Amino acid sequence: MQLSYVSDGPDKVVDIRGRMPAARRRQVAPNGVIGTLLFVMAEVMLFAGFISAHAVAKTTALSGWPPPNQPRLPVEETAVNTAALLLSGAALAYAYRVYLRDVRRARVPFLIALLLGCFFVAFQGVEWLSLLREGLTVTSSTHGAFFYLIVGCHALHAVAALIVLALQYRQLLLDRLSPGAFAGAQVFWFFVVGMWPVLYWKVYF
Amino acid sequence: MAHPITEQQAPHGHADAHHDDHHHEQSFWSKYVFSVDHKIIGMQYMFTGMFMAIIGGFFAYAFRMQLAFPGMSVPGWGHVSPAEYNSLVTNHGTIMIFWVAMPVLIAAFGNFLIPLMLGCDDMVFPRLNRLSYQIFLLSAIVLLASFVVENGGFGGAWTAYPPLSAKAEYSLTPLGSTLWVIAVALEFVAFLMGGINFITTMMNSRAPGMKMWDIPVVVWMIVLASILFMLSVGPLIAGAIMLLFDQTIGTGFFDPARGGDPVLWQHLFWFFGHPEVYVVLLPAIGIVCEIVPIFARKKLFAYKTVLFTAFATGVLSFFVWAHHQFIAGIDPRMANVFTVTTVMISVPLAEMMFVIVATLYGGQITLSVPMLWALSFIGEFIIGGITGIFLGASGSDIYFHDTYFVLAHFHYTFFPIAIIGVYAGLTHWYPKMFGRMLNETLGKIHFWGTIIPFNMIFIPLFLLGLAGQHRRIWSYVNFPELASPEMQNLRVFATVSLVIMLLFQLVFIFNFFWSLTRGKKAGRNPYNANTLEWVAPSPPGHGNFAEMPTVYRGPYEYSRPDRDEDFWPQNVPAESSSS
Amino acid sequence: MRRWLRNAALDAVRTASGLAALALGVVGAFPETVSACSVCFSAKNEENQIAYLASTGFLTFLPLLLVGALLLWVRKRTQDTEQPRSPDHS
Ligand code: HEM
Ligand SMILES: [Cu+2]
Repeated sequence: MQLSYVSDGPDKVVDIRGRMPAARRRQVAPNGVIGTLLFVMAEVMLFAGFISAHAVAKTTALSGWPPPNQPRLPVEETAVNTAALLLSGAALAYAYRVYLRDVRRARVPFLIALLLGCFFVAFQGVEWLSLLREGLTVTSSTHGAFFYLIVGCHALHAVAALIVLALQYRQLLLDRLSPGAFAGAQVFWFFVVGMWPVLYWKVYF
Repeated sequence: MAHPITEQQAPHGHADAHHDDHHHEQSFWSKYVFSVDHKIIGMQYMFTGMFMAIIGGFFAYAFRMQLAFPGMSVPGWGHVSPAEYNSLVTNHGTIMIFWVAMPVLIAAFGNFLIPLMLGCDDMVFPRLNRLSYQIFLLSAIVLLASFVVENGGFGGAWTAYPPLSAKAEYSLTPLGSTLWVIAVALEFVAFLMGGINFITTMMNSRAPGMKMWDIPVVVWMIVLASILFMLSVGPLIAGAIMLLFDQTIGTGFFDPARGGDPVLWQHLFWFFGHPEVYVVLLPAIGIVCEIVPIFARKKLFAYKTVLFTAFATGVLSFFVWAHHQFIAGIDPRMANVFTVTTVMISVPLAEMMFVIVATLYGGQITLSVPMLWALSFIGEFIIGGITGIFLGASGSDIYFHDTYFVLAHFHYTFFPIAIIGVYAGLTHWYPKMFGRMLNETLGKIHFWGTIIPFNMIFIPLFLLGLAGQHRRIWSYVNFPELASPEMQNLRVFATVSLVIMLLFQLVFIFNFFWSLTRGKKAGRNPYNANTLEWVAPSPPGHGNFAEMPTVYRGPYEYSRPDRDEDFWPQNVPAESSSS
Repeated sequence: MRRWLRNAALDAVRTASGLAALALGVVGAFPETVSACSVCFSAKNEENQIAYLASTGFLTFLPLLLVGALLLWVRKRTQDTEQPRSPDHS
């Protein structure tokens, strides 16, 4: 029902009915990038809420934080995983820079970013399984509950972002990935990557 | 402009454009139900909101009758049990704030007006827009479903403080409270999508020539409200997820017995809750700012001041939320700071009121129906704002907290916003929405029949609050000091006034539907107004404008001495004499 | 004349915000604790009290920071393209 726009330049769009040939609309940035940025701002506040709640709950815990009879969180292993995720973010940034000059050469770094992201999520899944086996559950203490809540919420975002990236990878292989879409997805992936070290620091230590 | 990001924009909505070009008849379903057209989505929000308003109003009728005549069998409802009373009050508040004020003021007016006033043909993300409405509808259905499940709807107040809300042993509504949380969370997701759409549209889709300061105030206000909403809702969603887990999978986030903290919820809730009141207030002020210049035939006084005050309000609104917890046991250092900030936030609001009054000064005022609503908004809102200052002072709030004084305060703010503001906007833009004029006489009857009883309801409630009457009590019979005949008479008076006010709403409903087919044809620009929506046909067709407008000036150029006509539409070039 | 008015207004805003900041600082720094009043028996321990204060500050300033960053970004991207317009707009 709405009219499509066709581009006649980097940031100038006219309406395909040609109703507006004289003057043009200016875009601050591609719609997808702005939309994603706004969404990311709301998401940052969501995690800010979690972090604040976590900080307060730490001080009201009944038997210390973390509770003495509960398993410790795997700080060292997760440090490796954190590095993997950061590398993934760097790979995607590199892929985007290459993409602007030569679309085909972006394929390899894009794939690396995608695979490192998948590694991060899978690694966490394994970590969760062993923690559950050792007795850290959502009901065992607020410590456990917050761990699964915050890290799980981040993991959900990572999975969603990875699905988008995987779909875009297919488009990239077909040479059909648009720069606006790539830039939007990149913003979201940077959010997932950038949020993690903060959560790691707040939750694991 | 040097762009790092170049976009060969893949035409969005290709299939739709295709349809459009062939002008082939769309089915009822794709035209009105699964539409991506911003105007239809706006209407969907509006009608859903109005439907919910009827339910919320009916709930108010039922519990007010119980308060005035304890134990009576309320006509149309029956006996109101204590549990039902709690659920009615809770869901009245929830509905009116989340399912009436938000959808109608922001989503309905935002969707309808933003693309029209910016001179573009739709939102930048039409599909997201449709999804937003669908999620909103789902949320409404979930909420309605929560009333009919076993043990009835949630009754722990619209603020849902734990432990009452977290544990089924206390709330006695295991299913109702869970559905309530889910409904609210879904609703937030819907508005987040809508808000992102509004903001991006304003940034990217303005008509050629429309600069920052040429954007009509109401668009600014809706966008600012969306930004405030977006930035404040995160912590509440975090809290809602935690609450949901407490209810369903047995975590103890808010349970002190297990190391949780119930006050934490209050912080997360009010961190959103107070900005939320400005989220609904700003669009209402925006509507008033559109109406007053038109019917006073004057330029809006100090356009930029209005916007800067609105920005200031937005910034300050993040600094005041703890005034809701003055007696929840917060750090006294915090209480002091929040007292000062709360009193401070009245300053920009007062300034906006003054700006509107200054716009009236020396104007040629026509007391049309939209103008009456706009003027009454100022008069009534000031009462709400001023009583807020008493509550904001932590010393007096210790006495007032949780009494009917608070209740009357926020109804004097909220009623102007959600009812007066909505009626102002609806009567003003009705000709644009439906192509016909509303009946003025019926409109005036409805106006007076709403405003007078409104004051008759809530002034007694101020008095009752001052006398110490607590909120959220089913029957005062068991509280001898609150059950005196004088107090009971005031309760009866308020309830009777409410019934009168509700009956007068039938006049509006009649006028609304009667005018759809019988009203005078409106024409493009019935009020000789300047903003771009009046350039489009009434009602606007697909794509809104026959000729996409270009903007040459700000939106409020009325009665310029150097022109023959007393208005100067934004899209008329300077050299051409008139349109 | 207009310039004078503008400067006066700016001065007034500066003075007002300075005074407000001062007032906030003063009332924030010297609370009277009254044990009989529910406002003051609050936190379970000192640590908890600090956690509340810190997260209050964090949650309050973060949104402003986010919007500020967004505005700067938008400004940077639009700065060089806003041209002055025909003189009829005063
Ligand atoms: C002029 C500025 C305002 C000030 C200074 C102010 C102050 C306050 C204060 C201090 C309270 C807490 C009272 C208590 O619970 O003891 C309060 C409650 C409330 N205010 Fe306002 N307010 C203002 C404007 C508004 C506006 C514009 C709205 C609505 C759109 C609003 C809606 C509410 C609501 C809904 C509550 C009660 C919430 C509840 O406990 O259920 N206020 N206000
Ligand atoms: Cu408030």
